[in-house]
Amino acid sequence: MKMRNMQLYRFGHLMCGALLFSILLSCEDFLEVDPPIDQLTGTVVFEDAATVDAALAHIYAELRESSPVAGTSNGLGYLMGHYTDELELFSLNLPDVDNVAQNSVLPSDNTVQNLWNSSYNLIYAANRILEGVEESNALTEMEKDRFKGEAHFIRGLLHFYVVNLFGPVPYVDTTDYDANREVSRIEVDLVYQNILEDLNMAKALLSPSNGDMERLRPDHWTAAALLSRVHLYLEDWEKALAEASYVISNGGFALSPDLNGVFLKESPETLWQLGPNLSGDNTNEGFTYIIVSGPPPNSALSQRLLASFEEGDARSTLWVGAVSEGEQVWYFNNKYTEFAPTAVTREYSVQFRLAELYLIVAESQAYLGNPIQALTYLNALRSRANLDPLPFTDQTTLVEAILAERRVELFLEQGHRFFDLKRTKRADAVLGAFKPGWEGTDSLLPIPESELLLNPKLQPQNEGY
Amino acid sequence: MQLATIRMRRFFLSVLLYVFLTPLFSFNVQAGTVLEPPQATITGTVTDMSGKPLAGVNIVVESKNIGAMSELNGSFSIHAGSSDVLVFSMVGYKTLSVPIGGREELFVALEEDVTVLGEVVLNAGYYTVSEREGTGTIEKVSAVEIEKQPLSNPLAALQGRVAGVEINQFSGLPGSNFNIQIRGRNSIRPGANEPLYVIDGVPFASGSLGEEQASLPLPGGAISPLNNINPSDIESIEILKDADATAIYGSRGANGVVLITTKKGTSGDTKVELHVQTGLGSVTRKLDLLNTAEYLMMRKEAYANDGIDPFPSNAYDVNGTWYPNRQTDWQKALFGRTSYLTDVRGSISGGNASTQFLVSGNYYSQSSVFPGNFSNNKVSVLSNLGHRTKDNRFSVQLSTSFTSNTNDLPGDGLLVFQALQLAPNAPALYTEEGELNWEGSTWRNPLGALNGVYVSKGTTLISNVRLTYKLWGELSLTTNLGYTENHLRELNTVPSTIYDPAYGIGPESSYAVHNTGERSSWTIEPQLQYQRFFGGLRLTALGGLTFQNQETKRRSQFAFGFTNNSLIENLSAASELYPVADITEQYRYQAFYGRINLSLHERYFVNLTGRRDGSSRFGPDKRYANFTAIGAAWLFGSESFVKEGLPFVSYGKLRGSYGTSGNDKIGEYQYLDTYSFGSQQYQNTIGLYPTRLFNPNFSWEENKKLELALELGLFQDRILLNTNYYRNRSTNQLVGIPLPATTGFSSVNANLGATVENRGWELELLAHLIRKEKFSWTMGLNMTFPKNELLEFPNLEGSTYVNQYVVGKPLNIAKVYQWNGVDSQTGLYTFEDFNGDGAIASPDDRQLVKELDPSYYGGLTSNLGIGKFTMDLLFQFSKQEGYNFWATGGVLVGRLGNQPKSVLQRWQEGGDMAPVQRFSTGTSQTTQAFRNYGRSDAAISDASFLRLRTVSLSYRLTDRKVQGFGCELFLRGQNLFTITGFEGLDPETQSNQAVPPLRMVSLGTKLTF
Repeated sequence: MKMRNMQLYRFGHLMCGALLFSILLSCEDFLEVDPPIDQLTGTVVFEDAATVDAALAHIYAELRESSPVAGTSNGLGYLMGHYTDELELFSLNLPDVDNVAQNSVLPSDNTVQNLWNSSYNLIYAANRILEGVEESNALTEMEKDRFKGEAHFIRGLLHFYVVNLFGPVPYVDTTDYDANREVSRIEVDLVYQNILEDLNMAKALLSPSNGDMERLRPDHWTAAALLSRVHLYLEDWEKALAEASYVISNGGFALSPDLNGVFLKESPETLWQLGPNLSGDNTNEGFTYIIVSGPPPNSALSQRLLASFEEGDARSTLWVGAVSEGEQVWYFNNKYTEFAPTAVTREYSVQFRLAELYLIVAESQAYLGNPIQALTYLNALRSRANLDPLPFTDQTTLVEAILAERRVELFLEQGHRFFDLKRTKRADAVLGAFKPGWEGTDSLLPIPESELLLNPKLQPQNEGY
Repeated sequence: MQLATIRMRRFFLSVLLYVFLTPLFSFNVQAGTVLEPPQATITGTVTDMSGKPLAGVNIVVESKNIGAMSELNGSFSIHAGSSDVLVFSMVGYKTLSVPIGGREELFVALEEDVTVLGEVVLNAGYYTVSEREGTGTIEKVSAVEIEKQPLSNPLAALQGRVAGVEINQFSGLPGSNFNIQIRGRNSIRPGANEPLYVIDGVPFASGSLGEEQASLPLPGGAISPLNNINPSDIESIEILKDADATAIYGSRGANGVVLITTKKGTSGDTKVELHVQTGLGSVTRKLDLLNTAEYLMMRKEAYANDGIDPFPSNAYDVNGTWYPNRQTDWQKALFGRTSYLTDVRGSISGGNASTQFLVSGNYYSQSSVFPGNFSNNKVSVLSNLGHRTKDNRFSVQLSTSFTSNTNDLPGDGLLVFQALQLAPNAPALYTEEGELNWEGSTWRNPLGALNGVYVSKGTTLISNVRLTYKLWGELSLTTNLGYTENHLRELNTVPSTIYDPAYGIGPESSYAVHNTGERSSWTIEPQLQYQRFFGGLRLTALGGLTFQNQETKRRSQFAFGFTNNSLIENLSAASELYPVADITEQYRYQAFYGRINLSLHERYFVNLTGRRDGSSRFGPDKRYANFTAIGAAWLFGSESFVKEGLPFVSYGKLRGSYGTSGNDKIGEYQYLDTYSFGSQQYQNTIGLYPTRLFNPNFSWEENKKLELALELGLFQDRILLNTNYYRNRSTNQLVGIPLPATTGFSSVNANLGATVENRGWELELLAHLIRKEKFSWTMGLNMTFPKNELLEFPNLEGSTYVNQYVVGKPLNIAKVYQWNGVDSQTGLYTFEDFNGDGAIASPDDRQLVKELDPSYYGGLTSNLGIGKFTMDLLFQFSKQEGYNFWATGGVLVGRLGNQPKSVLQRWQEGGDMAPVQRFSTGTSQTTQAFRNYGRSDAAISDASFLRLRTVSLSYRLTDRKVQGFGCELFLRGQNLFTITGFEGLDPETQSNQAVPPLRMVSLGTKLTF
């Protein structure tokens, strides 16, 4: 009994000792925790070109999956296809797309929020890279130039889509959230000025030959191509022509002789394309547009688009697929022919291709009063599609022909149809004629409701919403 | 030797004082410690007449002013001379004087004194306190009440039973989460208002380990780990509400503390208990929807109103594609099945005065209301062992519980939503061949989703050891060591067969999400306790330390592309495999805490508590903070002027407390500027993206709590009345401040100088209407009148919260359009144009403020015992407004999709006065007006309800004490009926997507040997 008590006493003393010891130990060190394994601190990222490159890889992956240029059902190709006259919606389960198709988009719709939020999220990521690279001491000047050039390009590209969709928008060029939370909308001209600055910067920083054989990164030529498009939208024909011609003459690109080769990843006319997530994957566009069997579960090409192909246009058979059930036939966008993954990836999502630059040259030349040069470029595309060359004609007819050509050449690519109707101010006449829901104010989408709630400085809402 | 002992005592007292950091009691304690040394140590156990140990019994040596108190297990030890007399006293029991007569060990049984308030011992976490002497607000729900309900989540047992605690079920699915708020919402940040859970002294993280992408089927977030706590293993649940009770939990006490104590063995004969019940359940409420005739009339009228003729090719329901005569009750078809419940549990317990044990096991199984084979299965074991040395100096309590929980659900959570929206003449689910019917791609067969499954398997291990050692005299050392481990494995499969075959999607597009998560946590809490009498003054003090380390790991993988759908659960059969998440988080926490309690003449009580906390959740400069509280109580019922002047008052206490506690629920690493790995690749590189907008300087949210309470026992405690007034103010709000997307993110963490106040009255009334041996009837009522108010918010106008909150209003509000009825000419919904600009637009016209908190809520209980029959009832009620069907109603009235019958009162032609706008298939005006309607006050309506939460009828066939074995039969009902005028599925879930709570009836028996 005594013995046991002694032992217990000792045990008690031991516990007391442990208590005192732990008091002494309990300094602040205990609260030092291991850093998370799935995150890198911001400063570490910019000490290594590989991690900065990974930060850019994130932006391209997001551009591919969920941005205005994505080939998914959230992207402009699909949405604006419905908003204008390229696609017809069959699905009953896509109420937000239905609103788009009926031109009765609401400020609270997910479609609108996705377009807006994904753009500004990636603009932030680009700004972060610009600031991080600027402060980095570990990167070489060459590396810095390339990273900054790509970031400027991305910032310009996304603002270009946002300004065309929403009208006056804020131009965000910092990561400072205190500033960005209360930005105001600025005039469209001012937004364009900033876009041009960014693109010129990108063009200067990016090298004409960066060894990117697959053209998976925007480069010097892509920046020039977007500059050309922006000038076209601003109706600055000379500059549009200059940039487009610069690329056509010096970029080393060529039209794909075969229509079937235009959207293959090796296509010689591609300036910039977005690669897949995993090797073997093909494009989101293929998955979104191809219909395997009728009736169409989601959407099919509209009769109006089908009717806009001239008789004998090879694009109407090579770029358009068909499915049927009984006597009914439905048509779909078959520019991308792969619906599912293949052993080796065959198609990438094309963002900029030479054909668009041909059309820009043609349109600029037509406006500048050089119909012969305009026809040269226009007919190059027509002959590729097995169509007869267009003869010499007056300026109005020529411009009409170029716009008609744009419609069948660029259908369902990143919303070209909508932006063309809008910049040429024909949206009301063309779409208003047959779409009951079309109103004069529908050339602009509404600013997302949540944005107006969180930042009253973004008021007022676009008219009509 | 003696001198050395005194020195050591002095040393420890100074340590104690140091730990408390409280100079208030530096009066001459040491002088009091030098006493005549006692002759011997007397040890023993105090029990009630049935052998159950009694804690908190006052033991005094009659001739000297030396006292002691019995422990939780009834043990005591005291120094006294062999000829002294010990006086045992405790409220609720008759005082007993026992001459020692030379014995060293005493076993004392106290007789119950029915004339005074039954004594309840409350677990306050780091200490216990009798309800009578308590200075704080602690509510207790004991096993007797928990056992009477067929439940799988312990939180459900608290619904309607405890004042000041609001608990709502997210859905009637087993395994789904509960929303719990103790005394209202303190934090502006949603998700930061959950209380701290402590199980047998070990903090239990209630955050889910689920992967969002996998846990989609469960409304209200991912699967709750609390579901792995077996309600039948619980001895009691204590809820700590005020500053006095919560300050000792410091930074984690702001939202209240829920203490769960598991069952322990008791000394006596070995007892075997077997409990079996089976039950049937179905959903409590369904919506009254249009039948086919009414529905088709609506559709045709809608097309006519819109001037569309003929019907479009995709209007399958009216253009003749679907049979116009079909009629299906989709609610019955998709969530109308009977749920079967099986619950079996058994336990063996027993022991002697020094060692007690309890082993129990439980099997619980409940099937779902969905078509198909889905169920929740739970197996758990609990073991508990207590030992105490003969001399009472050392004791150990070991408890371990393990639960394995498998939950099987349909792979998507939209069945309820679809049941409400499907046209009543939508096609049959199956073709005549028994295949899923896709009716030529004209609809999405809701059963397609059942080809995908969601399976979660969670296991929880909770173990703790409590060592107590008496050092010198009344100084004892307790160390609590705890370890918990939670595992969760989830699998969500989306095979290509959930889609219409016309999509042409094959198994190469099938995918599955696998998620495994684990969280382990250890705590070490050494603690010193001291008690001393100075005449009529009793000093109880404790001080201690906490160290906690918690690690969370979670890994999710996305498996895509299979050669065959039968291989979908096999990761190695996937053609593509990539990680969705690979997360490791560490949380560290340390604290010093202390308590000093003074009691004078057992009538006046003062309680001081304090804690200094450090948490790794904050940036290096912001990690530490102090929390303190003071509580005081006056047992005025024991004063002679009350005893003589107001003889009907048998018990009376006035108490109050004030103090602070905090909130660190912000998640790990939020102060760091980091980049994370994305899930998508580009050029074979995994993308790195900026994790968040970061701010390294955020810190604790602080909550100041004030409490005043009056407790009264009348007519020999036949009527007990508790009234509490509380006022909690939460400042330095730690929030993810919502930001517009132009910042690139949706929020940034920061402290906000806003103050949120929760104040209210809580009322508890217990009346023993009849208290006879063969006939007893007790009724209880608890009610809470809460008020939540945003007191101040600097620069609200300029902040991103401007359209979310209003100073002077509760946090839980909605700013909505004001609905002005249907325009009798256009047939469109109209709204108040607050800014008079001629258009109805957000946010300027969303100016009407609707409050969504209940104005009062509570529960009413009745326990009736007649002979061998007992009947228990629990009614729960709440007076509130809430989001009705139209807030999330979805489909425009007139488009393809069914509607509640109430839409028949629609506008039809010019001049009509009707509550529902004209049917339309979707024009700009009708769509916009309908959307605005869902964001107007019309979508917020009365959601008050009175629900018969529990009925339990039992009959005691035989009694273990009399016949040697006990047998009890019982019939139990859960949610038997609900009285409500709510326009929607259920006033509690207020959702069009969640399965309403189930009405469950079960039959069972309990055998004791």
